[in-house]
Amino acid sequence: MKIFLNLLFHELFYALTGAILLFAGLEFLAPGIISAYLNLNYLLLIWLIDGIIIAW
Amino acid sequence: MNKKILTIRIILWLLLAVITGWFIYLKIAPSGRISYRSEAGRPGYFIGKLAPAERVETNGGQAIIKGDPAYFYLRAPRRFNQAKLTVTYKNLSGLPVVDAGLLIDKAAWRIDLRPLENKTIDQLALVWDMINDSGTILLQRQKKYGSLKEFINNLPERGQIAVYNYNLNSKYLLPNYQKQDRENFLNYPLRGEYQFYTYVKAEPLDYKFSLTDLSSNSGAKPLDLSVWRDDQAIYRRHFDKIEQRGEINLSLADLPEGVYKISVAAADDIVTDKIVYRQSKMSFINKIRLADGNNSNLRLWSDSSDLNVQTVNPAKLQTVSAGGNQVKIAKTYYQYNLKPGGKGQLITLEKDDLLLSGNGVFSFSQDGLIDFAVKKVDANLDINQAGINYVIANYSIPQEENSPPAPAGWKAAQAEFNLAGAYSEQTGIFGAKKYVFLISIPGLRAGEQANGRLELKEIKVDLAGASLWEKLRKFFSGL
Repeated sequence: MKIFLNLLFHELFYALTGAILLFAGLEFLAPGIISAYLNLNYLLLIWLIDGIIIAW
Repeated sequence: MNKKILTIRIILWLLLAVITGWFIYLKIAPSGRISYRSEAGRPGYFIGKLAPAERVETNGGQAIIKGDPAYFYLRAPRRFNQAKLTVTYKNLSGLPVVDAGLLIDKAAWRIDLRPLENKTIDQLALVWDMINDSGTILLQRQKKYGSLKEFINNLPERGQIAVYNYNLNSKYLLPNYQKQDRENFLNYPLRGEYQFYTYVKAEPLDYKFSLTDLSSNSGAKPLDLSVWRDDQAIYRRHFDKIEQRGEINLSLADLPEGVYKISVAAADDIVTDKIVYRQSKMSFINKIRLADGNNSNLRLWSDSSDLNVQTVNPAKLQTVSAGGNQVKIAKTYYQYNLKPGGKGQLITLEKDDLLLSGNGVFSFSQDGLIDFAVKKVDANLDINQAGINYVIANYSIPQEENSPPAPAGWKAAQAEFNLAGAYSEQTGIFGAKKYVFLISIPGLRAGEQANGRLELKEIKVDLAGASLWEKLRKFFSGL
């Protein structure tokens, strides 16, 4: 179970990294396309928390 | 375990792809239609906050407008052609008219105003006979006409008619008009944009404008000249820049008799030093901004029943008189109000460099005033006292908001706007387009009317434009 959770958080981290890069890129090209609906700061926060959990 | 990791990976990345696709879908709006809704007091990304703060307060989800006008931004994700604005509100201002507007030209501050509410017409519709012909309504105190067409073709005496958001002026002919065979001169400089009515009968339309561009050192400003009849532009000319001292000649021959509107759309840096013309009628519409030409003791005539005066030049503080009433302009950047107390009143100004605005027309000669004799259904009109028996308007009566949990007294009114040609700002090539809308309650002045206000509950905007399919078809057909 512990190993499974560890892998899950790792995969989530990769997906969140991809999401941040993708959304930041889209936001750069078309301002507001993401930020109108989703606060990217919250996404960054979740990514950071996930990273801390993995490192721990 | 590998299978589990792969499954999790696929699920997460698929979820990311779906979410990204959803954002792109909302951006592109492939159907060509999208709607945004916002509580007036809790603005969002697409429908911005009502401003300015001096005239707007928020109370939870509601916005309270205490002064005229209030502005808000609309961000559209891409280009659309039409916007339908639906406003849920409660009019506690005591004023009968509420309009919505869209900024068309920022330099000339030209606004496309559309009606939301006219309480006078709403009340008349309950007791007078009403004909509704595709959004144009005709109200008759006593039913005499069976259709709108019959009314237009057999107009009663003009003093009995009042209009709202309807142009009846094109049907207006001056029975005793005499053309002049001499040049007239308007030597008072005018700043920025202006519009005026003129009249033509068996003569060419002949105007010469002498202009100065005060911004010539910081980048020349453009100018647009147009002539209108029946709300149709019959002449348009664009100037990328005006020479430091430039001249524009306007000469149109063989025009049918009637009223024409001439529009000069220009930034405030452009001053019209002189106008030379041959027409005997010249009435500036709703406002006139006199520039600083060191003139004194100016005289104008106006049929406005409600005047506003303002100056931005501290050297031009003065007393303005109209129809026996006076107002002292004691500070700059402040709008003073004056009621002339009658039609066709003489207005005297001690100095120039002043902005005069009102609900009628202005002329520098009494003979030059075009008195259309058709009243407007506004806050200053008493229907019975003015002897009005017919009202014609392009107007839809607002609906009472009945859907729960909205309390009684809320109304929902709509206004449609054409976004093509409207002023917009855009951040980046693919950024949202930002339009400026306004809510106007003519006569509502912040701080002057106890408890006078307009409460806004909700603003909804429905946008319509070309669908993705239509855009692709147009793109490939052009190849």
